[in-house]
Amino acid sequence: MVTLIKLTENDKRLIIVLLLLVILLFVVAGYIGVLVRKIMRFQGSKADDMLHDVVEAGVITSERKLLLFGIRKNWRVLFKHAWIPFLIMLTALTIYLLNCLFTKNWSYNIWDYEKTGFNTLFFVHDWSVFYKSSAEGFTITWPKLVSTPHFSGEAWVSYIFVPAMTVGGAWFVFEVQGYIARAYRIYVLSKKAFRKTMENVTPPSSPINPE
Amino acid sequence: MLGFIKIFLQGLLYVVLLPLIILVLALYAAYCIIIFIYMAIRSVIVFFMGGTPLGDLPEDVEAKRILMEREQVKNQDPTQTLANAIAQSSMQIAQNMYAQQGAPEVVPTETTNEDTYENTIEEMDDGNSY
Repeated sequence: MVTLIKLTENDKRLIIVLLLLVILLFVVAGYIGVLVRKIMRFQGSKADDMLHDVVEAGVITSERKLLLFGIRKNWRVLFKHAWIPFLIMLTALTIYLLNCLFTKNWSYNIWDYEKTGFNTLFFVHDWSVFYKSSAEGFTITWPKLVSTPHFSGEAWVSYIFVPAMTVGGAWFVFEVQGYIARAYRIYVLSKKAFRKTMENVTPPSSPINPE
Repeated sequence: MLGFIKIFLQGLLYVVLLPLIILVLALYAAYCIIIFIYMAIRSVIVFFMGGTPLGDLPEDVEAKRILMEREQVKNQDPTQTLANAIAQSSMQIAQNMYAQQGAPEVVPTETTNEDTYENTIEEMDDGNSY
């Protein structure tokens, strides 16, 4: 029997650890997916509130009209929910652009770790030396520390811009997810609301035209 | 164990489909930004034209009115309903009596203004009008 790869005891342990990590990753992804679906179901239930009265009162009587009405309502709900994150992002962008305009520095780096960027607040490592492979195998060395956290006066724009854009962006994405959830629910409801079903129909005991 | 495998497989599916999910989310985000800008411009125009930018849609207003009317009918005082029914039946008896005595027929209240006008013209032509 030809042996292509010879695994040492250490390699086997490493492979088992990696396998467990991959399984853990998939399980965590599964739970995140379940959580996202639950949140979307909750967000989609808003569509029921939006459409209930018009169907109950008989104002809308067809599938297509209900769908169009639902889309219009969904736009309004999106606007009402998303204006705060939009305003946060717009303010951050305005501050950034005004700073660039007044300092006449259009190459302002918000990720710089020395003077102007948000990374001045974090430990920064040089990851280029982390993994090295050679004929003998591969070696792992702890990356070199490049910068330690410190405040920099020149980075004040980054300190506003990055958190504001992150919060506003995440909030906006959450609202987009809500929009998708409501749009899907509106589509489902418009298909269901006016559909005739034979589930609870029983034929009359004495038919008019007996065969 | 079955639940764990189910979650694991779902996780695997989500990880495989992640690029597609991100793509769809990005496309919807772009669409939502366009809608947001459209709604913002529209709201400003409606506001300066004296309207309510994010007020109820006409369908909502109509639905609220109909549902409120239904609620009022449901909550109406039963004694009042009985009094109305008695008054209506008394009116009917009086009409029948007049009809038997040969008096001109009272114009029914259910008819529209247009019908009433046409009836009156016909009666005038016949010479039975007062």
